[in-house]
Order: sequence, then C-alpha cells, then structure tokens
Amino acid sequence: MFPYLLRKLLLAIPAIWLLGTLVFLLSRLLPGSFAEERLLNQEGGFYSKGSQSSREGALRQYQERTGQNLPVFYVGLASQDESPGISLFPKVSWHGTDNQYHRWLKGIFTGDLGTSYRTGLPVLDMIWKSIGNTFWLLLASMVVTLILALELSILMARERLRWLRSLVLPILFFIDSIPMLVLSLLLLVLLANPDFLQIFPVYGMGYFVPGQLGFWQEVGQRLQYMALPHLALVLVNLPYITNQVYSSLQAALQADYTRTARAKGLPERLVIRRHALRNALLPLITIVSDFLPALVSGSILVETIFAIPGIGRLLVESVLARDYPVLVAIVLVVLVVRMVAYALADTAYALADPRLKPKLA
Amino acid sequence: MRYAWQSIKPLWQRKTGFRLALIYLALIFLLTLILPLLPLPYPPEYLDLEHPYLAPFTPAALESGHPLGTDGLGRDLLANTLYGARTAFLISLPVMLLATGIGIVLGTAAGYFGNNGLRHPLHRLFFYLLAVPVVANYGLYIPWQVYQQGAALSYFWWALIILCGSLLALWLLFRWLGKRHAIWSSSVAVPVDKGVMRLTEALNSIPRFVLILVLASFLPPSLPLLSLLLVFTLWPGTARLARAEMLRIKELPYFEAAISIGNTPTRLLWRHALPNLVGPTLVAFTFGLGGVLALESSLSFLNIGVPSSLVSWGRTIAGIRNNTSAWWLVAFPGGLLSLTVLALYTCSNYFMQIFSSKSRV
Repeated sequence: MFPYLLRKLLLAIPAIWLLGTLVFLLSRLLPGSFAEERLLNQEGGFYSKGSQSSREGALRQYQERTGQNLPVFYVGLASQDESPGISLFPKVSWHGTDNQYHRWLKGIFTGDLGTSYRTGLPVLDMIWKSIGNTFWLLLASMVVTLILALELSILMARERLRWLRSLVLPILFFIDSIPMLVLSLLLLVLLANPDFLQIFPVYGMGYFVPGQLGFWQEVGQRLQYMALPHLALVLVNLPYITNQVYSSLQAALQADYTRTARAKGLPERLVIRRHALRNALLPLITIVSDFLPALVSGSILVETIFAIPGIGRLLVESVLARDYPVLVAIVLVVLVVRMVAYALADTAYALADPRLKPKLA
Repeated sequence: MRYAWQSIKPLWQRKTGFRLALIYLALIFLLTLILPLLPLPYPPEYLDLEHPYLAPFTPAALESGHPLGTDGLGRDLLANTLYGARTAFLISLPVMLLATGIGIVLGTAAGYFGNNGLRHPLHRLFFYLLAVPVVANYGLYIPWQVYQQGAALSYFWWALIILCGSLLALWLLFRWLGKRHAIWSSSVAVPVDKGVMRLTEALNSIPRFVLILVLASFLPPSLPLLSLLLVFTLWPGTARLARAEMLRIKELPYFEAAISIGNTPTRLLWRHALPNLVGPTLVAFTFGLGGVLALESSLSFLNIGVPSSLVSWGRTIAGIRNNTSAWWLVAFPGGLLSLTVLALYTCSNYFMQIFSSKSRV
C-alpha cells in the first residue's frame, strides 16, 4: 500500500511542475500586466497627476522592485523592443539563471510563492488566510450533501416508498437545471431580504474579533452567516450525488448477494443497509474524490455572491486585478489538493475493498 | 444520421415532455434570430435615467413602457432579457459545435488508431516535427507581425519564400536520409491514444471554471478570445466520450466486416463509425449546451473575460449586487436561463434513454 502511494505521489510531482510552469509562463508571456494597467493609465487614478515620462519611470521602478524587468525564461527569442523592425530569422538568446522563472521556482522550494501585485502581501499568507473559510464551507456542505444523498437513496430504494421516488427525482432534476448563480441569488433574494423573509444575515462572515467570544458563541456566529452559502452548495450538489448513489444502490440491489439476503428472510431495511449499501458505497469514493477539486471551483460563485473571504473570492479578485502571482499560486494549490484527493481515494479504496489490497501492494 | 432521426421520431410522437422542451427551444431560438426585427419599446443599451429600479407590472412601469421594470441605470429589463438570450445562444452554440467537432476528431482518432494503429517511417515523422516550428514562424508569426506593424509587404514575400525553401530542403534531406540509412526508414508507431489521453488529463486536472478564470485573466476581454478559451477547455469531454464509443464500435462484428472487405480508414470512420457516434454525441451536446449557457452567464456576472458592454443575462443579474430588493433583476433573466437549461437537460435525458438502450443491443 505505502509504496504504491509513494509511487503515485512521485509521479504527480512532475505533472504539477509541468502544469505550474505552463501557467506561469503563460501569465508572463502574454501582453499587458497589472502595473502597466495601473501606472500607464491616462485617465483617472492616483498616478495620472504626473506626466507620461514620470509614469513610465514609476513603472520601470516598480518592475525593478518586483523583478519583472528580468527576462522570463532561460532561453528567449529576440524581443520586439530591442529591434523595432521585423527580423526574418529568429534570434535565440541565453539569459542565464537570473530570470523570473528561475526566481519563482527557487522561491517555491524555499516556501515563498512571491508577493501579490495588488496588496503587496506575501501570496502564501493571503492563501493561508482565506483557505480556512473555504475549507470549512466545503467540508460541511459536502458532509451534509452526502448524508442527505445517502438517506434519500435508501428511502427511495424501498419498495413501499415508490411514490417518494417519483416525487424526489423530478424535483432533483429541476433543481439541477437551475444554474448555481441563479440558485444562490434566488436564495439571497428570498431568504435574506427585508422585502420577503429576513431569516439569515446577508453578506460576509460577521464582525467580531476572534479572541473575544467564547468557542460556542463563535461557532454560533459563524453558523448564522454560513447557513445560506451552505444551503446553496448543498442544493447545487445534491442532485448529482443523489443520482449517483441511487443508481449504484439500484445496481447493488440487483446483485446475487441481495437476492440471497432477501431469501434468508431479512427485513428490507437490513437488506438495504447492511448488504446493498456497503457495496454501493465503493463508487462513492471516486465521486467524492472527483468532487473535492470541483468544489473549489463551485465555491467561487458562492463566495463571491455571499462575500465570504475564501479562495474563490481571492481568485475572482485576483483575476479582475490581473494579480498573476496569486493566480499561479492558486492553480498550484488546486493541483496539490487534487493529488492529495486522489491519494486519499486510493487509500480509502484499499481500506474499503479487501479485494484490492493484493493489487495495490 | 438517418438512424438518429429514426430514433428521435417516435420520441417526438410519444413523449410530451420531449415535445414541449423541443418546441420551447425552437421558439426561443427563432426569437433570438428575429429579435432585431421586433418592435421593442427600448433598445437594450438605452439608459432611461428618469426611471431607475422600476418594479415590474406596476402602473409606473407600464406607463413608461418598461413592463418588466428597469435596472439601476434605467435599462429596460424586457429588452435586456431577450437580447441576453441572443448573446447566450450566439456564444454557446458555436462554442459547443466547435468543441464537439474537435472532440469527435481527436477522440475517434485516439480510439481508432490506438497506440499502434498509425505508423509512419521515422524520416517522415522527423520532417513533420521540424516543419511545425518553421510553419509557425514563417507561415503564421511573421505575417501576423507584418499585419500588426503595417510593415512593407516585401517581408511577407520573403517569409513565404523562406518557408517554401526550408520545407523543400527539409523534405529532400529526410528523404535522402531515409533512402541511405535503414534506421531512418523504419516505421514507428505514433501513440495517438496516449497523446490525446494525456492532453485531456492535463486539462481536466484543473477544474474547468478555475482554468477559464485564470486563462481569461491573461487575455484581453473579448468575445472571440473567450469563445476560443471555452472551446479549449470543453473539448476533452467530447473527446473522451468519442474515444470510448469508438473503442466499443471497433469491436462490433459489422465493423470488423467493414475492415475485412478492405475499406480505407477514411471511409471506415466516415461511413461506418460516425453514424453510430451521433447518438451519444447528441446526448453530450445538449447537456453541454446547458452547461455553457450557465458558464457564460456566470462569467458575465463576474465581469471576467467579456467586454462590459456585452448585453447578457449575467450582466443584468449582476445588477442585484447594488440593490438586493430588486428581485426582478434575478427572476426574469435567471428564470429564462433556468428554463432554457431545463429544456436542454430534458432533451438530453430523453436522448440518453433511447440511445443508451439501443447501443447496448
């Protein structure tokens, strides 16, 4: 088991490095940057008081400070600003190790992902601060969704509750076709609006200093603010997961061992819970591990709409400000989360299914 | 195609839900086509600054000619909702068509050729490998530079001459090598399957929404670029499906018979494999179309990747962030969006029922 996991993780590192490098190079090679947009902007803004030349000076100074004046990669083709005309033959030049990519890579190995263009804070701090909110939001909504999906499928699988199936499945289908954007805004408009029902607080995470309140008070405060985003995430994910669980439960109910359990005279509740459900849970591991990284993207809209300071909101703000160091770092975090999710799924498989153990060793 | 048509016809005759969904989709598509000809009281971009936040169906709204109300800048909601549908279809239909096309081509190639099916002599492979950067530089980059900088046309002709000359020289060189040395003329298998699968895995390792947001921040906001970006992130889904179907079809007896009577690969794929691929592709296409509609409105809600002058459902919905009590800004465009997605999912669901039951036989 352990060597298998180790091999998987070692294989994942080159993939992460390759994808991270691609995203990094793309972010630096394509024209237009945060600084150019801010400092060279003709209209409005703080810097527009100066003349064109002072603005360019400020830009150059800023680029030198953040290391953006360096060449991007070890090898470069001739850049346009050196020779204004068109050269028919590409000029390959060697930049040595003093380039942006080298610095970035070296920074990653020493645990430094750079500083944000927008806020000037270290990227790692910004991500660390916001990842907690996202994590709890996702974990809680995932747990609730899974429990709901399991219980619903168990209820629907029972013979006597046929009517429930013909009621729940269309409703889930209908909910599934409401895009997340519309669903969460509808919740906001219906349940956190003084014109309709003001049940939940609208935005943010509440105002309080973390050390001041007792533990339960803080949890209560958080729950109040997290309720609506949770509800949105659960409703969005429930149809898909319930469908998957239900179909895998249905398949398990057709199997021979279920027939044996029935023939034995077990009550239906026990047949489903003890015999069918255990086997039906195996595919669930894959679904959950596939869902972990997808949840990060799922929380983007919810966090933006409900103003929760999490990773998704950080991503959207960084995209709007073209804050590349943060973006590249978020991509790396998502990739690492995905790899960890896969490793966890493999371990869970090995633990849950004794047939797999010899194969993995 | 006839096969697909024959399976859809009884569906149309028997299932009311399918008929309703299809009629709705046809109607809304027709509406988006003839929209510029309709006599709407206001164009979507007209700012009626005297009537901001008009609630729908109130006397004031009906009197001023905004039956569905207005947003914060007095833009007519009716016109914005209808033109939003036009934008949504204008983006999502071509994007989905192109992505499906690319997916089918790459997926069927991967499934049909596998890792050993496509064999070429080594000297020709090397020729292709070296020809790609040459064509990219002289055939694409330099003409683009000439066009961008408005340089003299002689550069373009020189680039063309160099392009043809170097291609000819490369071809002659490798042909000569192939005749002289046995190693160069040995045939080598191209791992098409592996290549396509690695590519889809790499694209799938970052959640689609995160990838689109990050890549969109590297590019200037424009509709064609965003569409290309969506195509780039959407094709792996269809490619995987087409590959799996192709692997299944390859094992069927009729296909073996078609191979054995000496059909060319082109004819095999075009005449014998593609008609069987239509059903599953149709399922994925209708389902994916709903997803792209939701994606487009989410992106324009976040104002990422689209020019802010674009009339779309997402932009109209985004108006609610300034005024939570303006429920009509979510209800009408969001309702239309959800209804369209629901119709698409319904169609996809019915297609899946017929095609999955038939393809199993």
